Amino acid sequence: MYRALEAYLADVDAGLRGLSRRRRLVLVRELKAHLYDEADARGIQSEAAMTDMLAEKEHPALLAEGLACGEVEDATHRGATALAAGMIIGLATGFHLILEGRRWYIALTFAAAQGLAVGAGYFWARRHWLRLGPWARTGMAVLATLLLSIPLGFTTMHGFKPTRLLYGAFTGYLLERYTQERPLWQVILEPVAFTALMFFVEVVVMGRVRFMWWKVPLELSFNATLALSALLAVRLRRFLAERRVLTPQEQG
Amino acid sequence: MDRELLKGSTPLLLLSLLCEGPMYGYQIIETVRQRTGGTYTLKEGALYPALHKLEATEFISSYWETQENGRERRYYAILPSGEAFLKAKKKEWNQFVAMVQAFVGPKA
Repeated sequence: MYRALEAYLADVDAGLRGLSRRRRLVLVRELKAHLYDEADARGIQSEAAMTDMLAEKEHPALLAEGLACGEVEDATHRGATALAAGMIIGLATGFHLILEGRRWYIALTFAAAQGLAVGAGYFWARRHWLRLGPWARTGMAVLATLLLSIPLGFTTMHGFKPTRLLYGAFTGYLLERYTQERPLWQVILEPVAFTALMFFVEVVVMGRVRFMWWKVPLELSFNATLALSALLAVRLRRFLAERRVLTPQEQG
Repeated sequence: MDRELLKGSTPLLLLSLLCEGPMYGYQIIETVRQRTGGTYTLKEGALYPALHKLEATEFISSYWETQENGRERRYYAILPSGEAFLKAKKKEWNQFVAMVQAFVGPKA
């Protein structure tokens, strides 16, 4: 490695001190790869030529300042939008439970677990499987939200209720599917199909509850509320992302 | 070229380029320089924050690839959400250009 390049990267790294060590390593690694690409393209093979090339570059402190500023804003955007989108889901489902006449603290803990753990957690983790195909992404979303919904299982009066995990998995499924363009009939049919699945699991498979017709509209409206809030959360996040991207950022 | 005119257009420019296929940082800078005949030069300090912003908003994703010579490159690829955003913004951009052209174009 060229000494001049090493010194330049060390200066950039020093300017990134406010960021996490992992993030700093990624940024410096990327910059190093970039400078080597440019050096190769320009046929640079000597220390002097490398020094000349680096002299044309932005001052390392200024470059680091620009990179660090963007990183902080990106992290804030990612966290804030995940939280806001998760809160929509939590508030909608918690409010529905209150309307159903559930105890306020059950509704509150359900809203917190559904909104913060499942909703915000999904949006926070989603970037890790973005490069997969649509169905693999959906599978990952279901798996991740199934795990994230473990706290949701405890939002009952009688200990852990495993079927609560299905609400978390359904939320992940909906959130991932709503990021893709899809026909309206699927959007409408999903809460209906999930309601049928919930009754099948609780009545037939687990034998936990007795089937009663009056429970159907209640369950259906809850699942429709969940679907609507997931749709709103995805739309809000997309809107905020577009606003963020269009915010001017011109330094070069 | 007046830099004020370019403000806010870098993300759309990057998304348009990435629509052609995954690219790495230096390749993007070179492509922009060549296509604009050298009138617009992206610097690292503008390019990478813009790419990272697009990645944070989930319009693009990135991955590392090791070259035959053992060196690494970080490639950026557009995601479906980025394509949808670009499509919408292209339409708006064309309307905007037509509107401005009506006032400052050759026939104005």
